[in-house]
Amino acid sequence: MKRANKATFFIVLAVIITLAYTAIFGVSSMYGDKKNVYIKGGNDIRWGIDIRGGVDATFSIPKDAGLKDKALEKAIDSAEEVIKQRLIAQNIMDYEVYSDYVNNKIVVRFPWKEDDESFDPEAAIAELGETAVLGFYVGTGTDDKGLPSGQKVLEGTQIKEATAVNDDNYGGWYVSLKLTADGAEAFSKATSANIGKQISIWMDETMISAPTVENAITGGDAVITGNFTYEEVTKLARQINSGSLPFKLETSNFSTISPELGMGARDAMVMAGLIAIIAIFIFMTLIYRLPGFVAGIAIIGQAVLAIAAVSGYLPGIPSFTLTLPGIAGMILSIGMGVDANVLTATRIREEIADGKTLDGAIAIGYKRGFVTVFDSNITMVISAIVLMGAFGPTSSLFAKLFSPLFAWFGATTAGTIYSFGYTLIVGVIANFIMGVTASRLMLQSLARFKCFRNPWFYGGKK
Amino acid sequence: MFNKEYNFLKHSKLYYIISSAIVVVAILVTAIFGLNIDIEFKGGSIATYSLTQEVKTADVEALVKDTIGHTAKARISENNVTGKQNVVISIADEISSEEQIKLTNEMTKKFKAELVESSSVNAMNGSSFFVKCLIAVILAAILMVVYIAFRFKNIGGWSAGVTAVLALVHDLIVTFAVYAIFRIEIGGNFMAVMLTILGYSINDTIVVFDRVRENKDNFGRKMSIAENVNTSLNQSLQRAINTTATTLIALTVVIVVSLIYNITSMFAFIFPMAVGLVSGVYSSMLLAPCVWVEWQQKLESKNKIRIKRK
Repeated sequence: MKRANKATFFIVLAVIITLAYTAIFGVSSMYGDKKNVYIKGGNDIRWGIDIRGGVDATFSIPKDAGLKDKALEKAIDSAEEVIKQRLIAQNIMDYEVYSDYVNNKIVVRFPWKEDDESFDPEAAIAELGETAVLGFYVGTGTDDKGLPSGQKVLEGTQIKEATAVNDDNYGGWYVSLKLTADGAEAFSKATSANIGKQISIWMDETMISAPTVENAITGGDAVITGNFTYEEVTKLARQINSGSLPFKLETSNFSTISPELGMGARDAMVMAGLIAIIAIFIFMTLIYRLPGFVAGIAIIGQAVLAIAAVSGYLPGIPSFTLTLPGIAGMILSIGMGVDANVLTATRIREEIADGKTLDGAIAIGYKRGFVTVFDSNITMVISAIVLMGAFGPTSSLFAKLFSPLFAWFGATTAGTIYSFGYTLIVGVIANFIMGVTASRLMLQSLARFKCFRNPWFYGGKK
Repeated sequence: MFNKEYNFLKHSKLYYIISSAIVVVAILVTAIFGLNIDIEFKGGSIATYSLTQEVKTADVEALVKDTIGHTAKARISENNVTGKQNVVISIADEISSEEQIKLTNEMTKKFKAELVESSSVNAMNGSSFFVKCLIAVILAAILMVVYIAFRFKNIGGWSAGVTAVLALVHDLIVTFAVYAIFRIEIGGNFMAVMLTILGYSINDTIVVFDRVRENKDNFGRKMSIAENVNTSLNQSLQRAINTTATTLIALTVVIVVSLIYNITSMFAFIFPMAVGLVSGVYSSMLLAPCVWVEWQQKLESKNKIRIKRK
């Protein structure tokens, strides 16, 4: 274990304060009246529908589809499932979806506030209702209705996974496809039969790409290239992954809805959180003295990391809707952070009482504490992974891991539970960073100051 | 207070009685009174009325309760195009058309509101959702037992894993009992609370077993199982009290603030969590160690008999 020197405490403290400041207030610059956000802060957190209200839209299966009774019920069920998949794919975790067989309605609600310009609810609603039928056809010919007339060689269901990729050799952004065994065979046949000819790729009634086949593609991989932007490519990948609808849904009654709790409740909760952290800080310092004080700083760091993980602060991690269960996950992980510090502080006190030297006691305290924290955190990760696999989008890594088990149930996605699992995993990582490593470095560093050599500071006698 | 040695294992019978009583009460209350299940899982009715004047959602909820006796949730919605305001009432029960007419009459009389539409909604694959939750929890529990069995193999890993999960199930039932007894609505947040307790409970038990494992490494056969567990519990007591106190301080702050600001849904969320948390400490400090010690002693006496036969 690397020994900390006197400066370490101030370095760790400065890192935590910087992190706290930027994660809460964000970093942005004003250019005229245009605001450039470099780092998203606490104000950029997307709050759940219960806290800030949202959008309410009603979908229905079009009448001219001619479905009745059981067939209609089945179509509503599958449409409901596709809508949920698409909501999660758009990172909307906190939604309510209700279906009504009798009146042929699917009501969708999700959070949004009118002044939020980073998110367009009308576009999101429109995307939810699209059929998103993908097809590969031989040639670019169309019939008199403007639909492809060539032979269909590949369709959406034969694609295992679509990802958005950026590669300048392919002219920027494109979609990479992994085909199913059946799809790979069909595609290999079609490409070997049509070398030198064009194959057109259609999404619904639009031709999005028409590459020329240069050689037979037998490996089960395919790409959709074109002059796409990042937004277009991610939307395409999302649509392919969440499956297609049997019909384009009709949208009626698009309106905004008032929150159940309101932003007042959010402010009250933020205040409660602050009071709670101050209370924990005082309590820990009174009971554990110096290790308690250090623990207080580490717990603030842990809370800040939890905020950063949902606000979209960290690069590569999109912002999540913060729901009540998500807040529960945070409380749980902060509680675990407190526990990690209590464990080590208690241990240090015991070792000092046993007559160990100060440095020895601190070293043993963190070494033993780490074993305990490790085992309890791993069990936490196990449950978080199972939950994310069971209730997350079917294309996610965890879902694939457990697919043989949960395939039975069909995909019942529940965004709130998925976001709970997410905050929990973030909490565990934060616990190792703050509760274990940062607090050890800070305490070891402080213990090098002469004024803190007295065992009293660590719970021993003077 | 931490200098005294307590005998934690003395009252094992009492713990078994208390825990069984809570489980029985939870089952009885559920069987007799049923549960207060949210519209999301149960299905029910949603009615929309157009508004011509400002109304408070609480007043609408009270009106529904007074006229047709159902508990309802009201929200104000605003149409983006026309700017007209509606009130949306969700009721987690199927309401009859007579009740619908009665409600509409009252809404018109009191708030000059007109019915726009009313629909009955299906339960959101309610039962299949719960079954899936259950399977997920069972799978997580199995994986945890395997992990604990592996990490704690020098103190009879499988028994430690199974006992830890037993304590976990106990805490989940206690938390569930809070919902059943206090008639708290079971909706999406119910699962979040249960999952939080799952995390806390397993953490508490692992801390205790970790101490037993360490004492076994240090003292080996010089200490009997009961002695080892009792010493470990005494060593873990301070940590258990301080951690629980800290977490309860935080939860109490949230409960007090939500009561002051009248945020009932937050209270309904934190209160069962606090009870489950206390149950987690109880089961890991008293219930699980007693069960585990008895299990180990049974194993030991079996082994002794085998040795004698040889």
